[in-house]
Amino acid sequence: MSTSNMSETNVDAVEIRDLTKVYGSVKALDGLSLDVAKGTVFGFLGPNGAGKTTTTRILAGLAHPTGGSVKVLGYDATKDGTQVKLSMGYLPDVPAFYEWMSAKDYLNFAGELFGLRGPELKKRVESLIDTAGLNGVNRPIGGFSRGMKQRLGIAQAFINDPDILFLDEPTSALDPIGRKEVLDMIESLSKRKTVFFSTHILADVERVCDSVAIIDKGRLIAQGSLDELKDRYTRPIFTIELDANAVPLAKRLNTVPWVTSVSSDKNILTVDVSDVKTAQIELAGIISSTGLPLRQLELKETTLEDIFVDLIQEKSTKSLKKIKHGKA
Amino acid sequence: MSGYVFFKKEVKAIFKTYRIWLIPLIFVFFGILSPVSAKFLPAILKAAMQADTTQKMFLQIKIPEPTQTDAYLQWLKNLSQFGMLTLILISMGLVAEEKARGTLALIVTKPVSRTSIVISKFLAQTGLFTMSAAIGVGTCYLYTFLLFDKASLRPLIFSSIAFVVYGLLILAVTLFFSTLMRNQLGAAGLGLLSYFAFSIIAGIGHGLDRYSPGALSGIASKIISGSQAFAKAYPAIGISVALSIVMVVVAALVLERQEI
Repeated sequence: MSTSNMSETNVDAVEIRDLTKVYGSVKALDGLSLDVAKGTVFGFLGPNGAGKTTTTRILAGLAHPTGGSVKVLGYDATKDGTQVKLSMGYLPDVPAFYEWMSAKDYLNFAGELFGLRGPELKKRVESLIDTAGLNGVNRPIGGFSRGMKQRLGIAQAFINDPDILFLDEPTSALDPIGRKEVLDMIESLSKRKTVFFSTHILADVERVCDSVAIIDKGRLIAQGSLDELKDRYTRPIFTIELDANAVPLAKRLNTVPWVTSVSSDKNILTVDVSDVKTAQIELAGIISSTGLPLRQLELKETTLEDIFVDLIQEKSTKSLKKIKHGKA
Repeated sequence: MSGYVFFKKEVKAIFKTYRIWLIPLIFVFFGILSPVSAKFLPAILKAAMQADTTQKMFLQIKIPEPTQTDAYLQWLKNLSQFGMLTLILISMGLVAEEKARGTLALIVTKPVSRTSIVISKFLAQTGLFTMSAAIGVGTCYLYTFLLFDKASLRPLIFSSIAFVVYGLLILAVTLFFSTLMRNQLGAAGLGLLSYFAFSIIAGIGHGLDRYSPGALSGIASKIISGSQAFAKAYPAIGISVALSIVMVVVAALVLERQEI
């Protein structure tokens, strides 16, 4: 059922412009704009309540935007819903099924809704049952564990061989093996399909995503490829572990001009620097000059988690400053 | 085409959730109970009064010999109470439960129109309800024949048709509220309230006792007692059918625009 729309045109897989969504007095989305290129695995990150699920629901046609525009594969998601549905697969955060059906019944039903019939449907259902690890499970879905339901949810999202997949927290209910299998499935789609993958599990994003957007309070904070984000937001950090109390060294480092901050935890120091090159040359000498026994010196690579936490905290601090400023 | 797939799913759900046995059984129960109670209740009452000597001194009630008409009237009475309640209970969660549980979210993101979802649900329940009522009618006729030695089929069928048409309107109204709300108990409450409202409107008179859907209960009773021809029910039947269609269409329009 895969449409040829994606290959024929050069539009982005997802194009969101000034998207707002208001529930009563709560602004769930506040002018969100972002693009997702075709054939990418896109990680949509944000803390709880940031607006990830609302955005995914709007893209899937389950919720209506208050303002702004949303295009999926070039189609207006609010007006050309049928075109979008033909080319997409969707997995909500908590998928729910008809409990009297078996997994096979449900996949057959979902496939038939897409117009699949006969040997093609049979082949696809069997393949997805196998991929979801539900082979030989003939009991009704009512007796499934949450992980089994999640795996079935992922399988039903693949039934139409979609061009774009919207997955809302697809790995959150899975055990480590199930999680690995799902991530493998997503990884295997890379380059061929677009995957819009909302999550708060940063390790999953680092493993499978080509590009990332971070949102908070309904607004975009950062977007780019993982490498771009790391380049842009990398904060060079040295960790120094001593075989002695680190306080004297912390005092010494606080007087160094290229050191921006020092925090200590017993024998371990975390040092933020403004000039990595100089620090790489001079830091070892400074430690040596104090006469303290060194156990380990490491230039830490910034993880996505560091960037995520920094960006969210920075935004919160800025907001707080703005509020305080406004009051003053 | 996907509408037919969804309709098939609705029919399968009726079988898999045992409603295919449960609902007809309820109608069979009242199909048996109605003639049995019509036949034996007077005798039971008589025996009770004879046992109470104080009552006997002051009050003499003559209870006429029960007839098939009493059995049929009892059947209609049971239908208008328990039959309607059953109907409201089976239709209250049709859409509301699917929204609340989240099953609908996975369906409406697939290429099936929301209108066909509503129509499929209405048609599947219409089939179940009509079939159950027909089985109930057959049972009622059989037991009336066995207990009263004679039973006319025509008044029973015509009065039951009037009732089924009225019932389908209540089904459509409850389906509408089930679409409008997320809470199935709320949908049931509003369905029940609508049923009472139809009855009250029919009682106002000024032609409403002939044209309004609520009048169908009274007309059905008169068909059984032979005081009114089935043709008298045509206006109320026509209006009920039209209103049912309107309610289903409005329910579909509501679902088309609704956030799931």
